[in-house]
Formats: sequence, C-alpha cells, structure tokens
Amino acid sequence: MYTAPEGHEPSHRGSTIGDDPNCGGSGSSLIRGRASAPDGAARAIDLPASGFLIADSTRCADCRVCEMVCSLVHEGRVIPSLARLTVERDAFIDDHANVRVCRQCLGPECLLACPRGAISAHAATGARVVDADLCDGCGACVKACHFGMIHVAPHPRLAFKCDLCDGEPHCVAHCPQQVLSYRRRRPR
Amino acid sequence: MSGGWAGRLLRVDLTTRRIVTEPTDRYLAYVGGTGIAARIYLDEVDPGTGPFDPANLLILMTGPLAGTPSPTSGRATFYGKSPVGHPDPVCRPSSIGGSLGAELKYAGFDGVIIGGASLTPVYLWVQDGAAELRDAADLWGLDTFETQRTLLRRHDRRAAVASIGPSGENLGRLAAIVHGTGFASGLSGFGAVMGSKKLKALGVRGTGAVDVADPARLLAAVRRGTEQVYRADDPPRMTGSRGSGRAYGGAEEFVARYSVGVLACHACPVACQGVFRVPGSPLGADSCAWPHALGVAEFPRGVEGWKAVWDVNTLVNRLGLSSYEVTEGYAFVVRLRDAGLIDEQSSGLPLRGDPRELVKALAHQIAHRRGLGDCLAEGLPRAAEQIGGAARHLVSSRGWPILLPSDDARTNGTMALLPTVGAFVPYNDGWSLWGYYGGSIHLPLSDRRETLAAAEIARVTERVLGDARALDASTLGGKAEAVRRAQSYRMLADSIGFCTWVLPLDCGYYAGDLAGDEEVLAELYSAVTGVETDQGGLLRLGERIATLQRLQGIRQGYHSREKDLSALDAKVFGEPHSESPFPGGVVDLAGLGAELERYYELCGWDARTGVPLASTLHRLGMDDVADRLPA
Repeated sequence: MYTAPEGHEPSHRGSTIGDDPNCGGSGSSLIRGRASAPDGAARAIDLPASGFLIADSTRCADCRVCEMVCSLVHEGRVIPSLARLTVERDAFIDDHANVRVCRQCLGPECLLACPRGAISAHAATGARVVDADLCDGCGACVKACHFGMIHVAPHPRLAFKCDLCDGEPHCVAHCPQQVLSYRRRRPR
Repeated sequence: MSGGWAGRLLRVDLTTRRIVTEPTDRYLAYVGGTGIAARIYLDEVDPGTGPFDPANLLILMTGPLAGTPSPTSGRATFYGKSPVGHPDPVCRPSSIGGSLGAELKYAGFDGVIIGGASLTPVYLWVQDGAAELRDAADLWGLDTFETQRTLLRRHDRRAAVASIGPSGENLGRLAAIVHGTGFASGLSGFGAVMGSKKLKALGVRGTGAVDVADPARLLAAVRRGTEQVYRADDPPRMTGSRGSGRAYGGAEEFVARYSVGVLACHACPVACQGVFRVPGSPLGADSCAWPHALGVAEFPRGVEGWKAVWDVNTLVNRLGLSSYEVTEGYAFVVRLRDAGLIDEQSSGLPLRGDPRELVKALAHQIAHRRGLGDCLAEGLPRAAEQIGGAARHLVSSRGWPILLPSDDARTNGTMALLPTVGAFVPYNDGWSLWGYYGGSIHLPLSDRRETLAAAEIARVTERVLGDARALDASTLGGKAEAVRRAQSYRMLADSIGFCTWVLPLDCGYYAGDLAGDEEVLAELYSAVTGVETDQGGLLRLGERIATLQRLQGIRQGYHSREKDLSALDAKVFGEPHSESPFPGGVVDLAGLGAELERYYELCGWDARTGVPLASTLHRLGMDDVADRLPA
C-alpha cells in the first residue's frame, strides 16, 4: 500500500523513477528509463489517482450539462470553454457525441513536462492537479498531453485540467444519460 | 451578484448592413424570449406591417436561463410578423432547440434583432462579441444540411448554425428555420421571413460565460429539476423518440434496426430526439414531430412504412419545410384528387402512383413552388381560396392543422376552447397550449390513469390547472381558469427559454406528488438571476407577457371577440359528430361564448371586446404600454 510522502511540493531536482512492478497500466513504460524526471513524477506514479473518469460516449445525448456543471464548479460561472472535459458532435457525421475526459495517467506526461513542477498528485485523491501559484501558463503540459485534456486559460494564463472534484466528480453526478462514471482503482 | 442575462442585444439592419449593440436592461420586466421580443416589436413596428415588408423585424431572443444547466433551458425563440396567419398575419413566437440560444449567450448576446432586407443573399456570423454580414451567393439554393455543413467547415465546427432551405428562399409561408438535422423553428413560417430578407443563415459561436448569482444553489436546483424528469432505474420514457414509437405503434423494429443514439437540446435531460442511420437517407435526428407523417394512411405499415416516414422527414428538414405542411398538404391533395378537382397533368404530381413518391414529389413542389406546389406554398387556407369552389370546404377556416381526430372540438370539450384560446394569444394553434395544458398532466396522468382514483386525478388537475374539470372532455365548463393558467405558463416558458413540452414534466413525472414540485422553476430562476421569486411571481410575469401578446394581436387586427370565436372551424357548430358527448353532436356556441367571457374576465380583459383593461395593465406593472391600447 502507498503511504503519502511528507510534503507535496514537487521539486525539479531529479531522481531516478522507481520502476515499481506493481505500477502497471497506461504510461508506466513511458516513464521507465527516463533518467532525470522530477520527484513529482515519482510521487504521481507512487500515488496513482484513487479513481478516474470513464465516458461511454455511445450514451451521450450532447446536452452539455457536464461541461456546464464542471465550469460552474471550477470557475463559478457557466463557461464551457473552460470545462475540464469536452463534448463534441458533428450533427451531420457523428452518431453520438465524443466525450473526452482526463485519464489521470499513471505516468502523467503533463506533470513530467511542467518546468515549474506545478502539477502534482492531489494528496487525497491522487488526481493530477495544477498548482495555480506555481503555474505560469507556459503551455508545456498542453503540448505534452497525448489526449488533449489539459489547456491554458487566457485570463489569467493558467493551465487547467480535471481534478476529480475531490473524489466526487460533479459531472458524473449531473449527467442525465449515465455517460460518465467514476471508477475507483483497486488499492494496491 | 446577479446573473443570467448577457446584458447586450445585437441589432442588424440588412438594408444598410449596419450592426450595433444595445443594452438589454430596459426590457427586463418582460424576462426574455417571447416577452422581450414582443415588447421590442410593440415599440418599433407599425401594426400594419406585412410579414415580407423589410420593416418587419425577425427577433431571435434567449431567456435568462439559456446557457445554464437548468433542465430544458436550451430553447430560444424567434418572433416577428408571421406569414402563416389567415386572413390576417400576426406576430407569433416560434421556438427552436439545439444549442443556438446557449451559443448566443456564450457569444455575449441575449438576442438578435434583424430588420431591413438585403438585395443580395447574405448570412450573419456572430462570434464572441462580434458580428458580421457575409455574402451568401454561393449558399443560395443549397438545402439546410449543405448550408450548415459549409458554414461549419468555413468558420468553426463547434458553432451553431440555423439556415433556411429552398422553401424559405421561395417564400413558402410555412417555411422553417432548421438547425442541426432536426431542430427547427417550424410553425410560424419564419424561414420565409428570412427568405424575404435574403438572409440565408445565421451562425453563432461563443466561448464566453453566463454568470450565475448563486452557483451552489443552482446545482442543487438542477438536481431537483432533473429528478422530476429522469430516474436512473427508469430511463426517461421520451428519450430518443421512444415515446413517439410507443404513441404511434409499430416502431420498435425500426428503432431497434436503425437507431444509433439519442440527442438532446442544450441542457435537457430528456433527450427526446432519436438519431437514426437509415440506408438511403442522410444521418438525422428528430423528435416526436416526425412520426406525424404516419398520418399518411396509404404508407405501408411496419418497418417499410417507418423508413418511408423517416425519408420524408429528412427531406422536409433539408428543404426547410414544416412537416405538418407536407402531411396536411398531402391529405388536402388526396381530397382534391378524390373530389376530381385536380388531375396529374394540371397538378404535375404522380397522384395515382406510390404514395411515398407522391409525398416526396409534393415536398419538392412546395419548396420550389412548381405546379400545384406554387399555391400550396401559400398555406392551405390561401391555396383553397386560389383553387376555389369545393376546395374551400376541405380546410379549416384559419388553416391551422387539425392534428388528430381526438382533437375535434365536437368530441372533446377541452379542445373546444383551446383552439379558440390558442388564437387569442396568437400561438400556433390550440395544440401548442396543449403542450402545457394537456401535456403537463396528460403524460404523468395518462401513464397511470388506470391505477389512479378519479379523486386523485381531480386533485392533481385542480392543483396544476386550477379547476378539477379542466380535463373533462364532456363539458365546456371549468376551462377558462385552466386556459388562463396554461397560457401564463406557456408565455413564461417561452420567455425563460424552457421547453413547453418538458417544462410541465418538471412539475411532475417522477415527483412523489404527481402535481409536481411547483417551486423548482422559481428556484432555478432565483439561483441564476439573483432575483428572488416564487411560482406565483413567475406566473405573474407570464400573465404580463400574455397580456402584452394579446395587446399586440388586437393592435394588429387579429383579435376581437368575434375573431376569437371564428377560430373554430364552422363545421363544429353545424355538422353533428357521432361520438360527441354534447347534445346534438355539435359544439354549443352559446356555451362557448359564455366560457369565453368568463376567461376574458379572469384575464382582466373587457368581457365584450376582449381588449385588456387599463386597470389590468396597471395591476400587472405594464403602464409603459398603456398608450398602446386602442382608443
């Protein structure tokens, strides 16, 4: 079982990533062998998110409630362009909308790419979260993410991404079509 | 902090190509949607203005809740002088779903006021606080799907585009404005108004915000509202046209074979549209309107029939027609054919061939105004006049479609007053009031009718509609208060931007009490806007807007006591119906007149003329329009 390390501020000083054999799943192979990844990465891998979102797009009715609720919770107003998940549908091509959510990767490229160590694993949920005090909006994380699930907001320039709402995602609670679910990882 | 409204309106003059913005604040007493649009129209447009005059305004207006997750708040309203009304065109609202309204709010506008007329085809593009008119020469003649796809590719794939098809370009009086594959403003002929202004399309993309006064309270209210219409263990009965299939029968196999998903308007938990991929037809989605084509009795039954219906539906949407226009038009053509009034040569239609081909040929004819379609594009009452002779007796007097046999006023006391009242407050027809009046408790009640005690039905009816006899088809009594209340609700829904089909479900389908959670709407409204109100307060707003609409109709010569009564087809007073519960099988004109007077009194209108009283305007906080009362 994982025990939380003392202090959660990621540092830039590299140490070798532990290639924990228990740490399977997406991304782990990307990490292994990278010589100078920051501590934060080690911690993120050590601290897999306790859960992650799953979207069954085939059920999606394109109502956008998830985007609206997400932005309302995180921004205090309804602004879907700053939602932490995205819903896209071309009415003339797509059978159903495509719902994209952050996977809370075991080897989070966003976290690894951040030159300021502003992305870390949340102490309670392990969600990969952005520290607004450290982020300078450089966008390295946006380039690094394979899934397009981290973005930089214009005013103020800050990266934003899904933080799993402290383990009780509002998008899941409000989705009327049961597209979204919050899957808990089995404890190791 | 307050929220909801964007605070700005976009004003576009197509003649001068000038685009300006102006504040929304001074109209807020009329909420949004129909209310604000009607207020602007009353202020600015001469009542005698024709629907195709450049001076006619076409107003697209959202409500304060549009763009928020409030359940069913995704509807916006088009408003202006509609070419459909007969003999006198009148101002009407016609709402549209999809994401058009929400996207407009995110772009920073509560509404768009479109006046004037362009000499050459143009389209309006609105994006994040800016707007421009662009040349649409290359789009003119395209169908609504092609137009939208072109603009989405050209500008932004995430935009919302609404467009007219050939029918609107050719000023078909029932032409629709189509958004997506199946969202439409379909019953007021605003596609033709756009066509008269040479406005081919309008597209909107916004990445901005809608402010919310109390986010936590809104989230709680959204949950509370959604729970009325949705339950995890019982997927909503209307989702994905399943309700339609159930209502019309025989659709199960079609749905099982061709359904690929469901589709909702912005913020709607019900998702009434089904997405179908049928070989030979383009991908499409549509809600309960499309199976009405099953009214085409000659279509084959079973899956083949449904495929034909779907095919017609997609064609209707692409051509920018109204589906009722085509199915009613088909019935009319068959009556003309059987009466020997038309033949294949004079009509240019395959009258004796496969009915599926006839319906499609008719749709093309109407959209392009060829052959018989040229006069049918004027709407049935005008077409009947043009054809003359016996054709006049084959349509109802004001030309609103008569939908189902059960809606015949002679067999149904509710429907006796509704079409009349539907015309009082100029709406599409009695049917649209039914959306609240009947739909509100019709759905929750009809599904459980067999297990409910009569006393429970009466209690629910009385609480929602104010009179226990409101749904009793065997009497004209007890309808006035119900109609007055339904009309306030309807106006309110169209002004806030709620769906008039689902809104009533907000107060009831899955609620513990079938009469529903009547405070949930006020809770949503207060949480978003910061304006504290309750259900009574909201209904007073609805009453204010209904009175404004009444005043507008009177100024435009559409309403008077006599005209209200004439909205019913003359035959319901003369020709007996064998299944009628009324003495003699006809509607009792004196009894209807008495109920009408009672309704006027309840509304605070002059019982003899139906004109709102000055004291009523004062009571409703409408002194600002008192100078518009007829002398």
